[in-house]
Amino acid sequence: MANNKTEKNTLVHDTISLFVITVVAGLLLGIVFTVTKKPIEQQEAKTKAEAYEAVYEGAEFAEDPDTDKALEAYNEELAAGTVTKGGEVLSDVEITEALKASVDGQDAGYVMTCSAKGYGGEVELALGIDNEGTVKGIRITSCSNETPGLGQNSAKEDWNGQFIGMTTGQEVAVVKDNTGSTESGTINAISGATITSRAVTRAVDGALGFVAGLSE
Amino acid sequence: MGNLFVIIISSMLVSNVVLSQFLGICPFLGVSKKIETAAGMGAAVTFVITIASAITYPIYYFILEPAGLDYLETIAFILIIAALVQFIEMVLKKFMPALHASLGVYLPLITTNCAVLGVALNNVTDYAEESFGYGFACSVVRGLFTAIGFLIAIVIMASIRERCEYNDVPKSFQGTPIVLVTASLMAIAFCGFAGLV
Amino acid sequence: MNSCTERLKNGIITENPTFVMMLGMCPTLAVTSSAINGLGMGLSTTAVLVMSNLMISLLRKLIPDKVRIPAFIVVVASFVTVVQLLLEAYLPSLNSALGVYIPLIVVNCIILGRAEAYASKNPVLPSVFDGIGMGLGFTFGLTCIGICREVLGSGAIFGKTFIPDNFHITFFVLAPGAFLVLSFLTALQNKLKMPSATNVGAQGDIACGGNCAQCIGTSCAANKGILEAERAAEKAAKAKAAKEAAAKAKAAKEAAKKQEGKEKSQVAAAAAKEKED
Repeated sequence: MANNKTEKNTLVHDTISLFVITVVAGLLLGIVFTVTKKPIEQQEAKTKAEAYEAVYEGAEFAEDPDTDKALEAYNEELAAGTVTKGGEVLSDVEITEALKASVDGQDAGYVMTCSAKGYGGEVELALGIDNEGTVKGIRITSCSNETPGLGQNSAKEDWNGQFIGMTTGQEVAVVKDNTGSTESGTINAISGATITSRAVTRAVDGALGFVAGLSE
Repeated sequence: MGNLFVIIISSMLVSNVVLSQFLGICPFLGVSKKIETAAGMGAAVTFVITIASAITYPIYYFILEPAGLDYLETIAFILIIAALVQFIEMVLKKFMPALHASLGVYLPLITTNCAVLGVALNNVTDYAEESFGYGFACSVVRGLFTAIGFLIAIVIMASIRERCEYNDVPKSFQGTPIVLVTASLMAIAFCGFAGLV
Repeated sequence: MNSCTERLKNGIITENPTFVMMLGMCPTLAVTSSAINGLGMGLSTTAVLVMSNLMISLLRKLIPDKVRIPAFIVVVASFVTVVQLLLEAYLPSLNSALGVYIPLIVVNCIILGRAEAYASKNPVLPSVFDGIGMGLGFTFGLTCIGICREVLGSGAIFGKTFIPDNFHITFFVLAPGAFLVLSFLTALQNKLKMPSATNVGAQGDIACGGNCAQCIGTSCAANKGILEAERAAEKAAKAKAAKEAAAKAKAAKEAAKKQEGKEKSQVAAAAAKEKED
């Protein structure tokens, strides 16, 4: 009986101490979370702003309700798989944000963040498109799930610079025989990373399609 | 449905949990000497990963996410998994002694198997924005087939090791190095699945 | 202070977690595709290791023995989340490069292993230095493997390319290359007869790719405990049987001298068998 009682006591004691440790840990995490929340948001905003600045130099960006509405509708179309371009269904493409760009107070196109599914996960990129529907600049903001040395090379400017100058009228496609050119709307694939190259191309196609729809 | 099929193929073969994601390497290298033990370990992992993904997803979806506590996911999941492993062991011991006898020794090892936690975390990051029913189905299917991918990899590994046991391996490569070379060759073979999805 | 430097040396050289103990293989293989990732992962793990060692050493008298493993897990998981939040806030690029492997530091057997084997039994200062030593050892290992793979695979060190594109062997940054590089490193160690978990030969049976005698991973330690308990039980049973046999023999001796020789030979056989075991 006595043995039983002490056993029960230690059980209660063990449970309580484990509970206290967990609660203290939870509280501490809560504090750290609130402390780091702001820097995390700032960091994200900063990275985004830098990317937009890089893809559309000298412009200012602002949200626009009409664009947001159109974007929502377009994203639904994308997800439903009804948008095709360059012979591919763009069902994995998503445009997460689109801002109006203005230079000296005049409308000058859009900047947007869009993503598509690459080899190991989402590839995310920022894109600047001017009023004529021409790609002004592109920057891969996240491709860390792609293969280093292959898919991650998509972040290098000497590859993704190929997209600059593509227009809304074109259906950008990937070619593997190094014959890509702006005029024909083709991009040379990164050798060994066709899936990543295609993903970036789909995302750009999706974004161009969106802008084309807006100006109609 | 088509989507679920893609999840099945990609979690089982294309991004095989051991050979391309490097999760669960310890049991893969350590418990792969005999086919029987490897299959036992694989079965135990399958069991735990499937149940763990079925439990962690609703907990994230209904408790952590609405309360804005998603930063607690790591600590919550590891505790759930640890408790779950204990619980499964008790249940098996009581109601399915035969299964317990064959899986029992492997169960405690699974708490620190990073594949379980890895799959749970990947599930919530990938499917948190889906509707509950669909996300839940995806999580469970992915859990089950990731684990089957583990089972396939570890059983193949064990078969190869059994065959190679009496091979004349250069002295420096005996033991772990030759196992790692085998793993490397297997990983090359699994790279061949890359174009499937 | 002497014991502190000893702990540092122990972690970095004598019991290097990557090369000697072969612990934490998952991050070792997964994030070492470039030197900078290896370094980042190593330092994050070091931070978690130092803080968890400190905390567990402080709490070692308060944590009940029975629930120590869950308690350790809670402590480690909290620090991992802290590190993850800090990385997200101040080093977002590293955070996205390491991805899911940051939360997976929780199940890295180095951390629980050190908590169980060292921090829960020793005072604060040596525990902290033990954490620093082990962490730096791990960082060193990961960075080395990262450099090997980066040089061979993308012809660069820490992102600075110095080998022209045509000479890159992309294989080494892919998954199979990770296994191959590690296999050659361990083979090299075997060749040089450096102390390593792999050196013991092909006997290593359970987990961590090595032998359990040197492994400090908790699961393996538990395993070893089970095995040893089983062995002890077996031994006790055998001893009991032998005793009984001996008692029987004694009784028989008194009863009939004829039986003696036979029984004796049985006991001798049992003894011989035990010796063999």
